[in-house]
Amino acid sequence: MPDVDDEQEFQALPLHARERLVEMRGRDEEHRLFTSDLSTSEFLLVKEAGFDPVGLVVGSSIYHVGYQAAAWSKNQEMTVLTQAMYHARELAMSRMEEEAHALGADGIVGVRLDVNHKEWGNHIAEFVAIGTAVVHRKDPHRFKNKHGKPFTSDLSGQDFYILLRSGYRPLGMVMGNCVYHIAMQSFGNFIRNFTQNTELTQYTQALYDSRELAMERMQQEAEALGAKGIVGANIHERTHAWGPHVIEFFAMGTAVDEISKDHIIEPPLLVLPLID
Amino acid sequence: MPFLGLGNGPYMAWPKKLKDFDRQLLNGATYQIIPSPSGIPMVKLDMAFARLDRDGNPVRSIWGQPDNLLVNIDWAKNYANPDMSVAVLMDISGSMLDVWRDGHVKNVCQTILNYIHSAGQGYDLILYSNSAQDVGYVDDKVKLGNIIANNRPSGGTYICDALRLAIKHKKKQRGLYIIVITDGEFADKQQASQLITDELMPQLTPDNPYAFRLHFVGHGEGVDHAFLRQLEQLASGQGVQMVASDHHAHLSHSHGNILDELDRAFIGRTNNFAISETKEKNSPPIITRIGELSNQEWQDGHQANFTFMPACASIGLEFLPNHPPYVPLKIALGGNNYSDRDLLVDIPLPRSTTSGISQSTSNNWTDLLKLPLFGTEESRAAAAFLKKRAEALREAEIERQTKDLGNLAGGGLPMQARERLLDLAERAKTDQAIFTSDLAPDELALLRRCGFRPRGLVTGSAMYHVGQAYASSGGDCEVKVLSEAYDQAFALAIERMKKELRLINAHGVVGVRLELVRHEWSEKSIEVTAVGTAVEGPAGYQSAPWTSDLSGQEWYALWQAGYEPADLVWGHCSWFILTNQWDEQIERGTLWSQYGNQEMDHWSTALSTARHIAMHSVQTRAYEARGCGVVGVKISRKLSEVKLRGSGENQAYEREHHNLLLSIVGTAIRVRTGAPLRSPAATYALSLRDGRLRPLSTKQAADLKITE
Repeated sequence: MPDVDDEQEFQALPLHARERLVEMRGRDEEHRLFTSDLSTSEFLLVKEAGFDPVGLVVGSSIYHVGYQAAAWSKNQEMTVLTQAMYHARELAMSRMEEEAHALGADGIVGVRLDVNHKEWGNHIAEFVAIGTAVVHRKDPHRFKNKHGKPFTSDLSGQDFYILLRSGYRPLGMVMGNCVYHIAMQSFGNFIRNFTQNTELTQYTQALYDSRELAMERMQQEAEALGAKGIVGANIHERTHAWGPHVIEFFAMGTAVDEISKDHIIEPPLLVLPLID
Repeated sequence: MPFLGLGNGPYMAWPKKLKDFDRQLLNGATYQIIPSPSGIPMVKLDMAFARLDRDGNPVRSIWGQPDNLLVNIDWAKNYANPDMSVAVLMDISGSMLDVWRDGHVKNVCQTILNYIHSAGQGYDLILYSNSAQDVGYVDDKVKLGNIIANNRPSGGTYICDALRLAIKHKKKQRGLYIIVITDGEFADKQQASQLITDELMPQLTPDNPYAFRLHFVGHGEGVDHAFLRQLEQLASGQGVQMVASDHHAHLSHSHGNILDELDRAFIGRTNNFAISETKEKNSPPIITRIGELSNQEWQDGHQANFTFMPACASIGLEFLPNHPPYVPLKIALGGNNYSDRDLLVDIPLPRSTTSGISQSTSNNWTDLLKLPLFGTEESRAAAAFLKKRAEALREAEIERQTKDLGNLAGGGLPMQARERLLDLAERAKTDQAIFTSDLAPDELALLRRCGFRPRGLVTGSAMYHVGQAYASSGGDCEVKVLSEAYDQAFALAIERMKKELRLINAHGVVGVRLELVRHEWSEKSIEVTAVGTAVEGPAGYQSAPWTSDLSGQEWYALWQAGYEPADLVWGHCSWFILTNQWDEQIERGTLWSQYGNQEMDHWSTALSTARHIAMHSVQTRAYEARGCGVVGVKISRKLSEVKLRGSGENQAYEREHHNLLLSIVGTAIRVRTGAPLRSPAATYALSLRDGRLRPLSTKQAADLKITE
């Protein structure tokens, strides 16, 4: 059961969420109910891995993303925007973690982290994190991360199963981002390049800068969790309606730690499914 | 997770322990990168100086975990102040009965004893209530235990006699450190302050600032704060700090402060304890802030002097983008005995530092108040200093970007990417290895079966400007400029990815995701980005570096069959389709054929020609890569409407024409040396799904997408 600090965190959740969680927690074994967004096979594989789903957990944050002016001739990081985009995701994630914690979960699998832009506000974006909280049947707490919080992972049930089978365990989702302003070409350059095929090195450099920053930040989060590696990393370039020349690189993956020295699974069978 | 503002730099949310230090002096230091007060990246180094007791157990202090705080006992013996003696004045008035009984008094006395043992000394213990009782020199645990056991608190609180006894003990010693432990109001305040003013203060001179040091440790709510404060003021008038007081809700909370004070007084003879940057020739100074953790105040400069050896010191190293990899620091214990023990430490700075040109002024309107008009002389100087630094930062950043541009133009990699990969490669040799990968766990497990391990994400990018394209108004033709632009952009991006592959010492890249993006704000340019996971083969595996867009599963199946990827291959063809009269008529259906089926052979020809041209360059690349075949071929095409413009009269200028862009990407494979060629046996499986649901999806390398 949650202790005093946890209780405070729990009370910080909205009333409806608390009610839902309390109801799912149940009075005793008989009355417990779980919800999940796992498919049937994911559910079975999560079970097979020794975990029970305890409930669908959600965290969201509607965030006003501030404004930052950029010199149009400069390659530069838009720190205000980077920070906003990071913080909002962080908020959504930590709210989801709190819900899972309140359910006494050891982890959350299949986390999806989405950004939706709202029509009713120019700089307003909604950040949602959804996943299924799971608890280990035999050895609860063993899978919590080093801060005593449930692990998070964006791996599907299948991937989660194989990850454990191959001697790794998830520690948490790690992310890094960088919003970057790509400088405009100078007029001279523009004229010089107009008729030619040529690389725009200044643009390329901007892409590198922002991607490297995002990846580095992701890696640092993994190091802070004491991870041995990151799997399933996803690096996306997006433009979130910030107008021209501003892009965001967002890198996200699951930090993993070793639970055995051996990372080999049984030889797979090549299968030809007789259905398309 | 604390958010550190992430700004322009490689910030670290948690401090990291530094390992390779001179363990004689300090065994613990933590290293963290945070934004400095002026908002640029700064290495914050917290160093703890502490000691072991006689039995080799770490002495606890508030500065962190005990294992952070080890100093060799021999060291402590050599450097402790031999002239300092310590007296502990313990309150045994009736109100102390509780803490006396439950052992907290004994614990505190024991803590002090442990500390002093590390310098091979003991202390004088004086118990006071209505009168004072001198129980003598305590230097072992058993004696201490007996004294505590044989006394029972009772009576009131009178301090004067005890102070006199303590002063009497100061014989030849240079300094006397008095710890007064109390829980209530002194009944003889007046006399006590008189005594302190008359007897102790005259001996305090700047020459001998540690002649006396009084440390009042309060326990519980009944402490007479006003009196202690009054004493502090008395002493501070002398220009030397003599009195320190700490009040705690319970005696058990006071250990840390006592140890801290002992540090100052006992080891504190060195009044030249300094931390400074040892400058290499011609190198610009880097340290700008040094401070002591306890008061959280930074001072700017390249050297910090302490009048005592602090329990803990923090150093802030702000750095500019073009910095040396290390800052050499000297920690000097001043005075004759100490100079031979200077500690030289190389503080590593992060490899890559920053991107973006930081603004010299923040967007905060409150900064207006800091304008020269309002500030004092000092604040103006500080503002000027900050401005200068910001200027230097900006220049350095411009320099870095220029250098990177040069690297890119020369076909190289930007500094930041180089350093990330070199770091990953270096760490792979140590126990701090970490890998990054965009592969799913099953892909990793399959690779591991074949002895391949993931090393790191490798990427390549190119932003390419497409020149002026010409087409013929007389017939279909390839728009070479466009085809070449796409091929070149792919080549640049993949070449860079291969460079990264070599830097990280890996053998190949699995699951390359190629993305082609056209930005609406830059019509005439295309962006190609390649991301994949670099993998290292089993010991003894030798191969030219390869890239492949095959998923881990596909790669495994190929490997089992005796093949390995040779390289990514690609080809593009931009084919201009000139709409002629014939086409227009077919489309309108004005010819005799309007009721019949008819092949639109112009289009068919265009498609197949374009595919042949693109496929031809795929083949050429596959030959170059010494492949024996190409697998996993993905073809995508995009049709766009174009208008022709030109001089003179031509019907073609009025029609709408088309441009067909065909893009083919695949992986060339070669036969694995020494591997038996065999097709793997497949098992037929009838899925019990009814087809409404798709079978378990396996992650596939994303097809090439052309988005606009």
